[in-house]
Amino acid sequence: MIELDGLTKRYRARTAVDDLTVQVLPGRVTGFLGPNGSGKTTTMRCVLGLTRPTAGTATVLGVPYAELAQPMRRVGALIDPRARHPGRTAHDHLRALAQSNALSRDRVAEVVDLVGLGAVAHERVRGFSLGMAQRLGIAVALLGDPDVLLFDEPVNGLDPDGIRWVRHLLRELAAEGRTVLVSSHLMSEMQDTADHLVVLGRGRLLADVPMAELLGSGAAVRVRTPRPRLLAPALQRAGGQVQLEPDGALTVRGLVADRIGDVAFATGLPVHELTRLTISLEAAYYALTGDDVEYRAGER
Amino acid sequence: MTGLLAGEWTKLRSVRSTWWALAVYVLGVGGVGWLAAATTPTAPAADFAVGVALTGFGFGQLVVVVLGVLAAGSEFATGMALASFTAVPRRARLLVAKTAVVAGSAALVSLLLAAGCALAARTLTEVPGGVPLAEWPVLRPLLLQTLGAGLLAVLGVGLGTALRSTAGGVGLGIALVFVLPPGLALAGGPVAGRLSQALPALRVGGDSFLAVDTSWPVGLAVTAGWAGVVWALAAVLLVRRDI
Repeated sequence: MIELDGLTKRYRARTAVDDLTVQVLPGRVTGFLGPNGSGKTTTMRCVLGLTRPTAGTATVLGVPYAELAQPMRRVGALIDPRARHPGRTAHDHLRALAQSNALSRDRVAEVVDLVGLGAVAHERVRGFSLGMAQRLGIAVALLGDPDVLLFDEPVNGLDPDGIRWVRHLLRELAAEGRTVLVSSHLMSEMQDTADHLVVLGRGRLLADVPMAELLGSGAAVRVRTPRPRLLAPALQRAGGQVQLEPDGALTVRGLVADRIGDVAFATGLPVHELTRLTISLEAAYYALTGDDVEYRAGER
Repeated sequence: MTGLLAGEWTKLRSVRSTWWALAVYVLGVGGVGWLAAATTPTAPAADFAVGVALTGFGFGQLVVVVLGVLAAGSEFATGMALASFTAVPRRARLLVAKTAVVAGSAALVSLLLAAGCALAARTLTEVPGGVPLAEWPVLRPLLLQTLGAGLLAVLGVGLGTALRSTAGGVGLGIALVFVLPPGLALAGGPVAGRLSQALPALRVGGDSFLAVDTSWPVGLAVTAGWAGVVWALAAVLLVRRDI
């Protein structure tokens, strides 16, 4: 479990993280979303004790990270795929970090195989692609077999196979009861991976919701009937917001599909189509963050 | 702490720059030492003969400063620091471990190298009464050289950690030990002379190299003072600043 309580980080003129209070619970994948510069990485760095918060606290498993004696055994993190010395081999990189937390040499070999770097383990990481560097970073996170995992943009630079592998890995880790916090700006990726979402905009918490709820909140039902002008007022009386589409169908919000069917039956109007519309995470996300994008391309 | 030391040793041995520095140090100091001893057929006393054979350390210690700066500065220059301090959030402990490994390695190599130079003096330079390796006048410059190298490595680690840059650390390190002390000595005058003595000049055994001379205890104390203060400053900055 990761707990943030009033976490705030201010740089001279800029507030990177603004009074963030969130609990990241075990047993599910928590997606950490937000535009560039919204404070995701700063938040993760505060959790890991790399950055000192201006105010508020961040704890992992109930204690500040810096108080963990051998933190890799409890918490694993991928913060930056460039967090390595390019002149060192993948194996030596992992070995040095393993030794610092009294982890065995066997464990190094295990994670090397787990992330699929077996063939290049004894090559210097200077020549690694971004995808390979990500795998090495994931290997570091997994070294101590920790209960809590933080991944900052883990699928950046990975090929489709790699992306699928990471998705599977994250789901598996959560299914084992671990706490998994993963940031990404790839909405479609997050939609398939995360169970819960924490959304930031300009350092502020915009949403802390189950994925299903966020996607469902904008949900609507499409109803096609030969008599829309009769069905629409009936649905409105039942509490729905009804919109007539150009193709003659109705888009109904605020009523579930079952209820709409009942209303149609009660009024004796035929229904030719009744479809639940779910919005994509991307649409829900833009609805949330629309005003909070810090870096926007200029309009032409 | 054992694990931390092991991890830092793995870091030190697993980059090429360490082995390049070692090669330059051993070949430079050993080669110059051997050459100096070979071209000094006779000497009046054992400590004089050994002092001549240690000449190579004058330049060689620069390599030790560079090694210290690279070992610490590269953490920050490459991004490795993020991984290192996530693995070991107790930053001062990590710095202690790194310093111990780098300074210990530098001191060990220097001791072996100095002993080799003394052997060269013993074999190649004729001294009345010979060069008794286990006696104080011979042993002292060897130990001074060892201690000096260890302190310069501490200074280098301190500079690399405080400046978080390999280029800046190497530049400042070389300025402190190799450019300013002789520069001020050349400038002349009592103030420049005092300043030259107050800098951590490279030392060959008991003598300061190309700088205004001091007695060896003063020289050692000055070097230890610089190494200690710079290292302590680096530790404070490391603990206070964000990684």
